[in-house]
Amino acid sequence: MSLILVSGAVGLLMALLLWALRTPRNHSRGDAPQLESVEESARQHTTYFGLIRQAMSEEDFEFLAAHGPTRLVYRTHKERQRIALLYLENLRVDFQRLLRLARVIAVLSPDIAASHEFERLRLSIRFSWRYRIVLLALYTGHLLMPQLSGLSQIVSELALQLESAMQELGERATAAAELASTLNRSGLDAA
Amino acid sequence: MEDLGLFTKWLWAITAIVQALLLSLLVARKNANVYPAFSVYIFMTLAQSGLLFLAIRKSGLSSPIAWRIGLATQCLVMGARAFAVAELCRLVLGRFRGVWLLARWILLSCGAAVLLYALIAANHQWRLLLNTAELGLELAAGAVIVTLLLFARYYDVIVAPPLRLLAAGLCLYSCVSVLNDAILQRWFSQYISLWNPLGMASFLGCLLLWTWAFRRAAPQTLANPMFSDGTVYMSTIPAVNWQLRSLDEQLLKFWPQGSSRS
Repeated sequence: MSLILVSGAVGLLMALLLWALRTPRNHSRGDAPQLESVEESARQHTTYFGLIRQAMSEEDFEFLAAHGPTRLVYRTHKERQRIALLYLENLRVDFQRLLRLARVIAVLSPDIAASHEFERLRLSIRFSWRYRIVLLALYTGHLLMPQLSGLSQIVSELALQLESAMQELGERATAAAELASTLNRSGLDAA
Repeated sequence: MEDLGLFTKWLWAITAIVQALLLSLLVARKNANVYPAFSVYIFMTLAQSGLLFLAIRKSGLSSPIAWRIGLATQCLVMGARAFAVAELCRLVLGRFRGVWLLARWILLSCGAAVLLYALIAANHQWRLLLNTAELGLELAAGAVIVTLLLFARYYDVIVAPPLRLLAAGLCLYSCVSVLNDAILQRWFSQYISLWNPLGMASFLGCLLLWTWAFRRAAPQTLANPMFSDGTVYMSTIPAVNWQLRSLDEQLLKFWPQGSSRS
């Protein structure tokens, strides 16, 4: 093996090791993923979409462009862009939280399917990449606003499904805690 | 022993003391129960030091008997090290059954692929057979440990501090060993005098790291995470993936012509 190849591989391993050993900012104490940290729900930003859509109304903007002063039109355009950027950023936060919730379900499940896990990994990488491009296009003013509606709806549906799954998991956790408590009282080591 | 050099002799003595200290800590703090393979690995490195010391003292550094003992004990130590890495993987992810079932196949494939590639790429330098095997094994161990930590990070599994330091030490030592062995293969005659002290110094550094990691007793039984049955996963995750796919497609629709720009 060439020395350059080996050095490159070692350098890559060291960089990945350092990155992997970094403590994530959003981690709470404990060794298993905490449901509570992700359960606080994800729908908080997506529910504002009605207001956002109203603020982005094309008719309002056309009316303003026809009757208002140019300076006001420019200012409105800037404000709309700022709102859209904020909204998209918040959507990303919601999306990440939901993804984390999905990972918690995977970690706590006794059987997981490799195909589903790889698909989610692939999709999340692709989404992250495309999101950055969309964000860049929004910054440069090249994006259509109405499509935010579809995005919001999908995130909301996803949140609803996961919330119901989390509720089910919570019920199971209570049952498991009761069982563990009974076993401990009987002098058995459940661990 | 004269041909070893004063620096190497001192390094050897200090390493043996730290090995003994670490082993005592593992036993005294009852960490050996939680980390049996790692404890065996440290014991074997200590035993190797002792055997080599006796062989070199009796027959000299370049004697065939010292070389044979070195070869045999190094094979055993490498095997024990592989078990210690496997134990680390089990301790990090073993309690999460579903993820562990998936991870162990990925880790095994990753390790086997790297080892195979390293051995194939070694150009059959039979003179350095052990060196080549060590390089391949260390590279595979490093890749497995890094993949394990990435896995844990992806699934938000927090790795306890002793395990983090154990993983860091094992991986750092693997990386230094790989570089050390690769340089030796390239410049054998010029580098041979530096190869041993450098390897020993890096191992001493890792021993100190592990001694710090195991200064306190590890919890003997860890709380089991909450397990659901497979139905929650099977009913939720495919839908989540479908939603993600739709979301991904929605991002494409942001563009006027609906064309992908990614």
